[in-house]
Amino acid sequence: MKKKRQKSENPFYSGSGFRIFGIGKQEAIKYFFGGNATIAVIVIALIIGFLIKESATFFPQYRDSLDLYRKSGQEFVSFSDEQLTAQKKLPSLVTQARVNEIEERLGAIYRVSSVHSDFKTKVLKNTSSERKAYKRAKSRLESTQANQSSSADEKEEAQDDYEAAREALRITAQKTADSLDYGDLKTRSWATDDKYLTPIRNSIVENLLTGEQTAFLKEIIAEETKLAEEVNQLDFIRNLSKAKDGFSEHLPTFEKFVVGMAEIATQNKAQAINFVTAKKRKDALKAKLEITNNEETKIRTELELKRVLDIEPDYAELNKPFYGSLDKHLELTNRLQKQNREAFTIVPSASEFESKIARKKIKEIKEIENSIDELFTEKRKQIESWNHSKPFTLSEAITGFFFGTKWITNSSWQDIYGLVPLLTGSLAVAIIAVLIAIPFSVGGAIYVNRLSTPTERQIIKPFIEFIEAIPSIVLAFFGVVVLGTVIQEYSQLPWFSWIPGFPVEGRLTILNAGLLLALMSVPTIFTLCEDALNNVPSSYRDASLALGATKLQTVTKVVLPSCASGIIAAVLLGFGRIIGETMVVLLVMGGRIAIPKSFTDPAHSMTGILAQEIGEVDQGSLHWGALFMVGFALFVIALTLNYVSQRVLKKFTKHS
Amino acid sequence: MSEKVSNNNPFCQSKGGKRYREKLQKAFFCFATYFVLLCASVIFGKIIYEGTPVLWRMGTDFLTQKPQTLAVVEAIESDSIEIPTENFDNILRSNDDDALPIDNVEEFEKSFPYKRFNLMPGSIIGEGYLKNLEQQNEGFFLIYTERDTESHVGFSIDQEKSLTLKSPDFEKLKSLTPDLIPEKITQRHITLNDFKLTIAQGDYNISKTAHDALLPTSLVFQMREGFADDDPESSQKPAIIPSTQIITVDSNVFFTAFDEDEEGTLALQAQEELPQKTTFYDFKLAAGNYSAPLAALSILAKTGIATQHNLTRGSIIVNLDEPVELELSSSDYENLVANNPKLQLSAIADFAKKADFTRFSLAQDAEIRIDSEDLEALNQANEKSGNFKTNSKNTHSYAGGGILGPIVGTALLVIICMIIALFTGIAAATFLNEYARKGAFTKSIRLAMLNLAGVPSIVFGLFGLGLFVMLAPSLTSTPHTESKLSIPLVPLASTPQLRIIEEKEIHMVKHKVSTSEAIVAAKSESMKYFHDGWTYLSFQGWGTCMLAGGFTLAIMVLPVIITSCEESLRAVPMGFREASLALGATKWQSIRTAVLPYALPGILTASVLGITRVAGETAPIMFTAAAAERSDMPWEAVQATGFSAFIEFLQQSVQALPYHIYTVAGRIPQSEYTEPMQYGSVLVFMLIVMSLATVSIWLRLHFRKKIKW
Repeated sequence: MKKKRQKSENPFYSGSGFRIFGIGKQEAIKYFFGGNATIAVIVIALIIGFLIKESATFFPQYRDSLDLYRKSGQEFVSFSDEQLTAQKKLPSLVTQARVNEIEERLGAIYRVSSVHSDFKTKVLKNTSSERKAYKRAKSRLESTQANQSSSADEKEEAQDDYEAAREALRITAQKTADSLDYGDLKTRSWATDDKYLTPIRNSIVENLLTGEQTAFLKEIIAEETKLAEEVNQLDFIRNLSKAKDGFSEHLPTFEKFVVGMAEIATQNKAQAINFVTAKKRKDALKAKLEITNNEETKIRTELELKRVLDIEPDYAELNKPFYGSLDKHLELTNRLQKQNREAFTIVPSASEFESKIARKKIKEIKEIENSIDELFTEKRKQIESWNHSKPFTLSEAITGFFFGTKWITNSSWQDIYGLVPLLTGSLAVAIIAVLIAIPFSVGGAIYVNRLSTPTERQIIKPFIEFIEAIPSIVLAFFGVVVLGTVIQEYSQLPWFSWIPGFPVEGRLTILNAGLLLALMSVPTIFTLCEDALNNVPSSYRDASLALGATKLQTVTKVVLPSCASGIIAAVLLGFGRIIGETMVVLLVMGGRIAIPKSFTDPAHSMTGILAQEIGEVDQGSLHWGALFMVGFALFVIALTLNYVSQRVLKKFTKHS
Repeated sequence: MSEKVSNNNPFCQSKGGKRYREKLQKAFFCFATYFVLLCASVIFGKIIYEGTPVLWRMGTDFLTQKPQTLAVVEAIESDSIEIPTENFDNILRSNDDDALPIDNVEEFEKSFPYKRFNLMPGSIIGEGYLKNLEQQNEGFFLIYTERDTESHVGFSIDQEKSLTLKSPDFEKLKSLTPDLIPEKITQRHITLNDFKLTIAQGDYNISKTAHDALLPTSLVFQMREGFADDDPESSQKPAIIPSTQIITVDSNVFFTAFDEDEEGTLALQAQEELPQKTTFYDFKLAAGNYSAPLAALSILAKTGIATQHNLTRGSIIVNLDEPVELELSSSDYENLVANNPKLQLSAIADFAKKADFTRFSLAQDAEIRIDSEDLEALNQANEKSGNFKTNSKNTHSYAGGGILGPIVGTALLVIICMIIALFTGIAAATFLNEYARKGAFTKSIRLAMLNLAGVPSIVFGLFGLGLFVMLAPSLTSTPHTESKLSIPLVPLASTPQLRIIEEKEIHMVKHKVSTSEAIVAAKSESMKYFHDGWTYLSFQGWGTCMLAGGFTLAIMVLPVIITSCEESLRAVPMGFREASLALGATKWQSIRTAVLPYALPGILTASVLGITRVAGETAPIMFTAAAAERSDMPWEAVQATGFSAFIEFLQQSVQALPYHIYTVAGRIPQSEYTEPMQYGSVLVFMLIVMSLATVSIWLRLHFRKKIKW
């Protein structure tokens, strides 16, 4: 401290005394610090501002885009297209059910050829050099034998070489094949009966040497065909095949109709877009014309300017084919529906099937049976009341975004932005994760806080903090590489079959992501719960114990109820953290944009879609706006959760 | 509580069943706790189990090499394959040693003939030749300011070449270089018709071929819908001819656009043929080195004579202050001297470069894994001898090399982020704890912090993209044409050098015009930047770079840093401040001397905690800083000097470890070859983050125990 420069106001000490705008050094320091503290406020304001700014233009833009969609008749076609999609699903479901059933009934023998080919690729890989040596020796032998002039010695030598190479190949191949087991299969569930293992191994070696289909394989395939034919001859399978024919009989004519309409709509849209962008192109050319000094450029630009068409297309004329097709559409759909009704009556009931997956498919068909007529009537109504000149309103665009069930981007048809599939995906995974995490984190908190020994506590608490530090990308990686396969395989086990949605079909599912996110949210919920437990006054505990309650009775009957709101706040905060998590849901959830029907389906999420798509869109485009709108929705959800949990927590703190 | 009382507890006793239930409950709680720990351990265990062998095999190279594409090559049996020893060792490491069928390994020294010379100021050199010089001489980068289009340039012809030129080109060539053209010339006359056409007003369908042919003509036609690039040639679109027109087209256009055999052509009202005579000249040039003006060379280049000169912009005038010593391989040197007549070199000397090489032979059908760089070296070294031949080659991106780039990138991001976050964080915490009184202001700050802590990390990424990448202001004399707002500040800006103008695509405004006009002019010439002598404050964003990423991460981690710094400040007893103030220290002095030093351990803990958070994040850097692929280190790409070098350094995108893992695990096709890279990177990343976490946990426990006032 410089003590010499002292001033009058403070008898002990005063600062150096420089002042700018009446602000002294001390104040300057204070304001500097204050300014830094304000950054938090500025940043949150900026974030809100940015999200609003970038997404503000979205709804008007989206409305304009939808307007074109209607004017060009694309909307009209999309109604019929939805009918077509629903109808197309039926034959494919039927076929799948049949294949699954055959697979199930054939059992072990069905999988022999898959195992055979899987093992064969492995053997081929391990014997590549031997195989080539063998091939060379063989071709040399053939050429020497074909060649008249080659001496007997040469022939003999070639023969010896050939046999040596053949023997080497046989030994290596046999060795490799014998080392293979069902455990080495690419898909573990292909494992088949043990009695086939040795024949498969021998057949592969034989196949390698001769290059022809082996007797064993032929036998298996013949057996398989025979069995499959037997299954096909079963009454209900025959009915199933008949139903398939029924479902698909009138499908091609209807599809042709829809495709034809779609072509017209695409052309209409191109004309509409040409008109909408004409003004912008003209303006750009005019601006270029003004600044250019080059004569040649000027002439070219003027010509280009003249070539821009800015007459609005006659939409009524363009849409005539659609209005004219109403009768044909009715006729086609009526035919489809009639045939459907007949076909539905002969679809066998699910109980006749042995395969679980086939039963699932049949159940799906039954569900469609209940809804398809309704869908057809609804779409027909929409088609009849369709009017190309009715403009889209802003509120339609807004509801279309928040309640839309489709998210289609980069399509040559029409981009549609609907939040629902993303939101449901996010919510589904978060709910599953929280449901799994609650027992572990709350139970863990109770154990550590009330029941464990101090040494245990000293180990467990840092360990939990340690888990919190695991980067999400590491968990995501684990989910992709390890957990997905594990879930898929173990879900095939018969004693899990009571769980709805099992067996799991894909590796990347909501369940997989949910498990990882549960692990991720345990530390958050655990820490906050433990705080809440700590905050319960010790007098409660003492009183309870004094009344003769046991330790556990005290915990469950006294302590837990009194800190319930703290635990709720903890769970809410954990929920908030999961909703905002990106990498796990991006990599592990499968990325299918559709409303998930069960928790073993793949799905997409709000955070995932942002991470996946924002890097590839142009700033200011419709897609960009839609993504920022998703970001905004996410932000609002996260803040609301945060706010609610803080309120709950505050209430609880006052209460204690 | 039941009425039946048994012996142990006189007050309360439950039935046997109840006690059993109680035990079960306790067991459940215990299980819940340890199951979580077990799950985490399984994850750690799996990654360590799979990752350690990778690290073991690769050794430190995994940490000191860049990520590369791995080629899996099936080589054909051959002897005496040569390769630099360094690359040979690398190949050995990439493969399992015992599986590699390599024989007759022999090390030797190979020497390459080189030339050393001084490049004199004022020399004139072709662009391609300069680039080659720069490539072979590290540290030589010529920021040229002038080009020359007048003087002669050289070109070589390997073997006799016959040329055909149309009449105007030939005459021009003859006037430029009369010496070049040989005695023997054959003339041919060909008559082609031009057509004068009358096209009536009306609606037509026009095919894509016709459309493309008509574009350069002067016909005014308006398309009802435009053609896309991927439309088939025969597709037709409706068009309007707004008025009846008469145009003249050459035969080429006529036969494509008005071919009557095809559909989708325009109907003609009248057509008239205008005969045009064209003369062609055929002659031969013998092999050898020639010298000619640039304009002559550009005519010749149309006939397929290869050159490394830039034909439109001209040669480069070397603007050095003093001669520079450079070296070049002998063959390149011959080429350079032959094709640059105005080159001034001095002190030319021969020398040989020696390198350690390894010679080896490969057994038949060997499958080898080779990193792309090693493969390149291998191909180059055996180009002449042709000893190294391959049967098949599969490449697996990101499966070779190491992870040096991502590690460095993550470190840089963390450093930048922590500098920013700690500076503001400590200042804000000091304000909140030492200065602020309870009031609306502090309340709003706390509320903002609380909310900031709850914002999902991907939203920070969006924010960083919108603000730092796309909008943040920078001070520049060459603003981007896509800048959101360019404010001219002072009319004093040095003109950028020619090379920078060319490489950055800067539009130079010659006469003073307004900023918006300059932008339109630059855009119409499809330039990215413009320069008009003013220094601008341009809101053009910083681009995807570490600065943007660092700021985004800093904002994300700010609430964590502020909260924990504040906590450690609060832990310093009031008495310290009071004593200091009582001794006459000012507020700032007492904070500086009596508070901050004692809060330092806490701040240290906070910063380690912050680093842990930041290093593990992927979402905020995905579109603000991270690059999936980058072949050099960030400092190697900097070309500027002084302070601008620092700025240029910060304005680069970097690879980052978490993003690298995302790329290898989620964005590229998976194969058995990419797996080691995945596990290796994840293990290294996990070890880094987890050791940071351990340090922060240990620090906190340690200081809590130690510091007691």
